[in-house]
Amino acid sequence: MLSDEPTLVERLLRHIAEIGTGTCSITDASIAAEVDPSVQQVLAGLLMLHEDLQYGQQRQTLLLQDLREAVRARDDFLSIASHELRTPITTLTLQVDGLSRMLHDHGAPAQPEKMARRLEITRRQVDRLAALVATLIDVSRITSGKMQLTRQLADLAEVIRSVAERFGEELLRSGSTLQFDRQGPIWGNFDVSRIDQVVSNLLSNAIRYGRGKPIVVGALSLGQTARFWVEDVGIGIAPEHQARIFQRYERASPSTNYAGLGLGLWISRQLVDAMGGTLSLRSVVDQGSVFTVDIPRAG
Amino acid sequence: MSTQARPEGTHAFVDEREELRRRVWKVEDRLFMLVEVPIQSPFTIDVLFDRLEELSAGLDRFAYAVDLTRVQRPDAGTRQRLRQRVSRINTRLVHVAVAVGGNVIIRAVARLAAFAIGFRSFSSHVTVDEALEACRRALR
Repeated sequence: MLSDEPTLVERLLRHIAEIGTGTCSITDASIAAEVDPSVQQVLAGLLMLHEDLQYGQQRQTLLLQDLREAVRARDDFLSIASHELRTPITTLTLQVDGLSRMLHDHGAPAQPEKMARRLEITRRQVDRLAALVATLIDVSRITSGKMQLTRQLADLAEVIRSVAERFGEELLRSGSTLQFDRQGPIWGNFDVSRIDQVVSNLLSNAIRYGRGKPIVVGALSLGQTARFWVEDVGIGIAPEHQARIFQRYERASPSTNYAGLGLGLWISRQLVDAMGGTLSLRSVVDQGSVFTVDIPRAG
Repeated sequence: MSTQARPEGTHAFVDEREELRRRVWKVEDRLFMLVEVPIQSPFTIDVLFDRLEELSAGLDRFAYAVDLTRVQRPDAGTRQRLRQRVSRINTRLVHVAVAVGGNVIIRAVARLAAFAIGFRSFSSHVTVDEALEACRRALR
């Protein structure tokens, strides 16, 4: 008499066919219900094969998502970077053309004041281009692990004061005032140029997003730790953007509203990490932001 | 303290990590014992194999027995981590013996892992004593 029950081989082939299509009807309970221990082991093996394939597929999907996100971020960055680089180049071209006309227009009287103004504008745009290129070099150094710190005995409060002084003109243009809260000298073994870079970045952001309102920069010593902070009462950062802004090529505000490569905070955090410190943020939308840096004084 | 309730233990307390480390010990020269936790995870695998690597540091050949008599079937991610960790020490392994009690599914899991890793010498047993004896024979 013929049985309607599928043979063991048929059952196994069906399971293999299922697994080939990405499904599997084998369960721990169905394995336990089998009488033959050899069949139990084969079914367990098939179930795990299915799980391993699914797991590999999930990982590939996640990897693909990450890669797509990375490509999107790179494309956005290239778009922003080309815009940022083109702006000063356009200005430079205009100024150089103007200077050239002044030099070659032999009939016109000399205009030293106009020439000096054009040269000053040219100088600022060259500085801007140099800063952009320096930023790109920093990104390259950090991502390739080639960034090195050069520590020296220095007074952190003095470093911050000199940065603040350099921003005088920018503060004047923005309408913001700057208050510097300091206790006294904060001596430590610091990489002065990198701290300068972090303070400059935080202060530049505070001016950019500070809506012309007062900015406070502070520094104090907490035992073996030196702390400094930059506080503004500007547009603030929504909670959902607060982690993202420390990532590469990210910014909380659209690039159409505010200039910049979206790299400053990422570089700052990488630099602070390299110094063995922390960079943290407290922010409320429409009330402002406080960026706080804690770094070891011993280096 | 229980290590069973939480399969993912990346935020494990220090004492939980210590509890896991105590599950790996030296039985005798070149022979080690691992007692797997009931619910394994990539974290528990890492802690156990970190400890095994510590204990076997400097040995060019050794064997270990694993007590799998009270474990549940690990998920795919855990199995993958197990394969990765064992591959790191595989060239120094003379023998690996597992004790699975009467659990044929766990025996199948262990045998599949052994095939995937490419153990030079592997055996599965009902009891821990049998597994340790198999390791001793291989080390002689």
